[in-house]
Amino acid sequence: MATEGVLRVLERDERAFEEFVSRSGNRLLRNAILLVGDPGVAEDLLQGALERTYRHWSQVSTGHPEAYVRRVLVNAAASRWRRRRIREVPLEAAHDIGRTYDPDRLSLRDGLTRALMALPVRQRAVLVLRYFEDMSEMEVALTLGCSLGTVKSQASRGLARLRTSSHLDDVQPATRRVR
Amino acid sequence: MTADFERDLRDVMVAQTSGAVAPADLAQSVRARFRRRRRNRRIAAAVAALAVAVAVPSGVRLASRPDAGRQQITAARPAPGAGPRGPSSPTSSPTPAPTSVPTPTDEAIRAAFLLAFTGNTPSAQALAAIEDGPSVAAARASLLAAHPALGSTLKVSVDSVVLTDGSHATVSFTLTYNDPSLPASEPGPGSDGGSMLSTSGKAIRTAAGWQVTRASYCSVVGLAGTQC
Repeated sequence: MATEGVLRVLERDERAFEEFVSRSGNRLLRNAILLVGDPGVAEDLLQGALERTYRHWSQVSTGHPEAYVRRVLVNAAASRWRRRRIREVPLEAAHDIGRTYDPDRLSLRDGLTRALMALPVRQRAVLVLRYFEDMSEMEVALTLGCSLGTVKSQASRGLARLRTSSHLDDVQPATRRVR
Repeated sequence: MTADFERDLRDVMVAQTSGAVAPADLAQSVRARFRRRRRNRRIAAAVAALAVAVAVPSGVRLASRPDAGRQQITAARPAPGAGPRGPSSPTSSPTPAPTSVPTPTDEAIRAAFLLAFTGNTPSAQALAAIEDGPSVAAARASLLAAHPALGSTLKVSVDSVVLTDGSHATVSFTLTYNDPSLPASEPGPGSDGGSMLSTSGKAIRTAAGWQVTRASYCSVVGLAGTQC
């Protein structure tokens, strides 16, 4: 019966979604952590992105679902940043005045995370996709829906800011010394 | 030196996140979250429909949606049993409130919409999912002939199903397609230039099971300029 055929398709889609999450979940979570800094927030962001992906799975699965999730993650991180930036304390200031117990800040202990969080979201996303995901500049442009020139300029500015970031003093002194 | 810095950056990114592991039940959590939201949307839709039913004592159910800016493909139709009594009947009672759909019914209705509107469904299966299917065979063939890209790109996802009585349901669904010759309500979810149209339609239970009503199917086909 036709209905049974469609139900079989739905079951197959469910299995495909599970396999996709199982295969890509760790990498996407790490991508999200680099985007927002906090593992808890990153997991929530990833759940939201996957929920959206699940909702459109029949269409998304025919293309590149991982690229779709990454794009949703970047947009969600940007939206979150816009909502929070008014009440957020600048990282430099928080660092200078000493730390009180704050779960959001505890996750920012790592120098790289701090340095990345100091970058604008799109610049951060370009660096994460380019260097963590090992994408080409063209792939980054396609994922973020921007031009190749924008990717190049954002990557260049982002790298320049990271090189001069005091947060990375302990990260890779060898290469910083010779610049 | 730039290459060194970039290589170090890559290594540090990998090293600092390598301990992060996605929860084993991530897919299940996502599905549970999705279903929770869907259930909440259904409840909201049922409450809204109940409000309309109470506000329209004539017994005529309005098939309107709150997002009035979108395409409407459903027309006002009499609520079950309301017709013979007429709007002035002192004994007319409010239309029964829609209820949440039990899962098997929900799935059967969803399956009918998937079969009817997915572009590459074999003709016989698509027509079997539509009320009085043979009568719309020519329109379906005409639509696919006029817009060949629909055959491979037209997809449907059902957003919500609200059962209005034992044999009728209102279904919100989203069509995505990639055919520049057709109107677009909004851009699709992908980056391929596709289009998306969110709308609603009706399902009816017939002797053959749950089917998309002929009127709903013809309304959607009509949006593409093809008449049933």
